[in-house]
Amino acid sequence: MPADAPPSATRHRPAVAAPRIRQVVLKVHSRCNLACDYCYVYQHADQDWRARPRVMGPGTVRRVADRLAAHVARHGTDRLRVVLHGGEPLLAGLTVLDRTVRTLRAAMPSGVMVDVAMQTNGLLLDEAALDLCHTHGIDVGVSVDGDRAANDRHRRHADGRGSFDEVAAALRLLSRPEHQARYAGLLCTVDLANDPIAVYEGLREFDPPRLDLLLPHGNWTAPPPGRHPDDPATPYADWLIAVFDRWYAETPRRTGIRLFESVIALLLGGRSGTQALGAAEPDVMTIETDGTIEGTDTLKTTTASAMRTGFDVFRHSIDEALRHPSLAGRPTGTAALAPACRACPVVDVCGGGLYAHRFRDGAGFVHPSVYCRDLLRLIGHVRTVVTADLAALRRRVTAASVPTPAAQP
Amino acid sequence: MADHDQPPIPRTVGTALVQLGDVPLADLLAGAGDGVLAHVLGSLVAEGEPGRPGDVSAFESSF
Repeated sequence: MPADAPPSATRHRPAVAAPRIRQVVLKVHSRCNLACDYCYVYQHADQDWRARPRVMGPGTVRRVADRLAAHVARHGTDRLRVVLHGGEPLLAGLTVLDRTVRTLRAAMPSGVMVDVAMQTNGLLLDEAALDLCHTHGIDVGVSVDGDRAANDRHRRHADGRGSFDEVAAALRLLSRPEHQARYAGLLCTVDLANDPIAVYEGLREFDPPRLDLLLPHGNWTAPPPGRHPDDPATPYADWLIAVFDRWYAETPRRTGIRLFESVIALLLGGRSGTQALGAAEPDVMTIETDGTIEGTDTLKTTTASAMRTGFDVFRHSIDEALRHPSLAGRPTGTAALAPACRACPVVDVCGGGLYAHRFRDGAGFVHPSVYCRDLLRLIGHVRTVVTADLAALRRRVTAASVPTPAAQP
Repeated sequence: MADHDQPPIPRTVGTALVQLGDVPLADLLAGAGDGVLAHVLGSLVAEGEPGRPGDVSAFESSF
């Protein structure tokens, strides 16, 4: 069966045991209205964005939709997530976003659900944008790094002005009761220069349903700020543990923190909700404004070519692109891990960490994460806390289930 | 691999590092209150429900 067989011809065939994508990062606009100095899109190795169209055109969107429809039909997939991304996706304009979502959904075989999310810096997030999000059920994630001082350390305009006032106004709008259904959460990049509790409290002011705390991208060749590969210090674990302890102690739970909840779930034998942990399968694909198909976006931080597949939606199917080493063609699971990782007691939780963080120039990705020491310390701390909490819970539940003598006949 | 100051963790590949024990998960969940642990226990229960999407966040790709 050709990879691009019409959806109607293949929809009810059994799923084939082959790699498939579940999420697509769709670059609807290739430029940004901020100039954050840590951004992997513009500040790291891959500078291909300079040659790409600013906006994904309607012909490209139609081709993306057709390719995705063929892919989900071939694999019997009933659900696909598309993340409208950039650059800054709202720069594309609401007309383009509306047309894009309609085109994607219209192309899908009957019964296939397309969940749409958007990751924005919030600067253009107004009532009109939120109306569109309600119309299409687009979940909105906003990037903000904490309180004013923390946010404006990196998230600045090209002229140096901070962006906090603008993003704060957008978040006050998004957190209104009438918009909360579309509020996916906040995305915060950790900076050791920021006070962890001030960052956490600052983010919580916006009443997010979920927080994503991202470690700054880096690897063994280009280490993250403050993370010296041979130094036994664990500055990122120390920072994260400060937040974890504050967050975990709050009852009732005020918000979710995906990284921490994934560590706890994995410790208890469950699943990760983040690609940073748990040996996640590479099921995320990036499609640029010109229709180029690329691998996991974070590989932009390794080499200029790490995520280039040489494929595009005009000439190639999604399944063809998936065979590339930056996508499902790369080793996964324990086979992808360094010997030290395979022998590590917490490998089932850490999973080797985010794939991009394992990179060493000239030697590839078969290394522990550049954050290995931090991950080990964080996981150990969470394990200690959860073990004690769970033991206390078991005692309470067991005691409550034992009848008291007075209650017996 | 990094040095660590945690006590050695007995590891069997594919098993949980923190055991729920012999109290049924549903009983633990019922007694867990409304804190973080309760929420995660609830997610473990939900993992077994059919139709639940098992994908992970794409937001690592996002600033």
